[in-house]
Amino acid sequence: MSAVKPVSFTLVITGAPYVSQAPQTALSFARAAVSAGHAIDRVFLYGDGVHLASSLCCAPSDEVNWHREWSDFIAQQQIPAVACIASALRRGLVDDGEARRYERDAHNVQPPFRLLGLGEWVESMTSSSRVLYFQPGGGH
Amino acid sequence: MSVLVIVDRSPYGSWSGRESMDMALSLAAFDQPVTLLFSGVGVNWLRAGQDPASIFQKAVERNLAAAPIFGIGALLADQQSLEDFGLDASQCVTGVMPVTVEPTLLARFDDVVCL
Amino acid sequence: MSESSVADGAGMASRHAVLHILNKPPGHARTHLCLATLAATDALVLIEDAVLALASGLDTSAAVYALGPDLAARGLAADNGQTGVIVIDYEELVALAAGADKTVSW
Repeated sequence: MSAVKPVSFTLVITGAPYVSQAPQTALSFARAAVSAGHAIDRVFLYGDGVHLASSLCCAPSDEVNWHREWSDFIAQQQIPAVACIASALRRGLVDDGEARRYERDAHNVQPPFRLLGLGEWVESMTSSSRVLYFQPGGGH
Repeated sequence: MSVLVIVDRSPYGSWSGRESMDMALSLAAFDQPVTLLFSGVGVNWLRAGQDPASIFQKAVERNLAAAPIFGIGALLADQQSLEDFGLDASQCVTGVMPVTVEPTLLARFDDVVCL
Repeated sequence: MSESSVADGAGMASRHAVLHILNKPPGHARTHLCLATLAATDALVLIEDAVLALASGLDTSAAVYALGPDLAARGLAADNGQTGVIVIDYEELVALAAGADKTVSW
């Protein structure tokens, strides 16, 4: 393994937690990448993947809370984590600012996740060595 | 950097194809070279005469026809998939270029995105 | 399968033109699309539901890797009788992705 020189990854997650395996595979990959000395430039949630950003996720106590696991990991590693704002707003994922803008009485997206546009993904496409996609499974 | 965005999801019944096309449009908006490839059921996005008003969705047909104006390099479509759905170029939005999906096709691009 | 693709140390860093990462099960339209674009000099990594291809059979001259935790989860043995498949862990998947010229996630 030592023969591989360090690179930078952007991980795009398009599969939702509890609907697909995507958040789990992506997190196992991310932990292995960091352990091997690679950089993770950004985690970008797109399409149904934005559900991972919901802080209101209430997983049963005997199951993994993927929102919590991811939040802890990206906070600890200081990795920018972005949920696509267009995907998020349509699916009812709003942060404090958007809740005020659209006059909603609650919000469920908070740091370390942020709502930003597809320009963030374009930036990753031009600057990260590798952009990998963690997608829904066969049923979708 | 040139990017191939592949759309292989059917129109209207799934949102995924729209989200792929939004990615292509974003790349184009930031002046990044991008090409769209429609394959499998995805070729049905290209059929002329779509009228989704009665299912309360926006049509993408005009956007696709205007793809070169938005900066999308080409609209490619898998020849076999077009045949599978009874489509020929005259029944598609203008500017569709039939291609064969094979390894050399991917080799023409720096990145391939297939949501 | 060529000997150069064996997953031991430096051999793992051998470059494949394109690393195809597939997570769809056999029979899925995306699986057919992935296989249609797979060159003999490329490598295919089966993750998530795609590891079920080791049970149903897979016909390719490209190097094939399968993610061990996904095999174990589905009760599949190391290579399930499919010759030449190299079982990898997440660390080795990272090394393959870092070492490839290009990756495609199907």
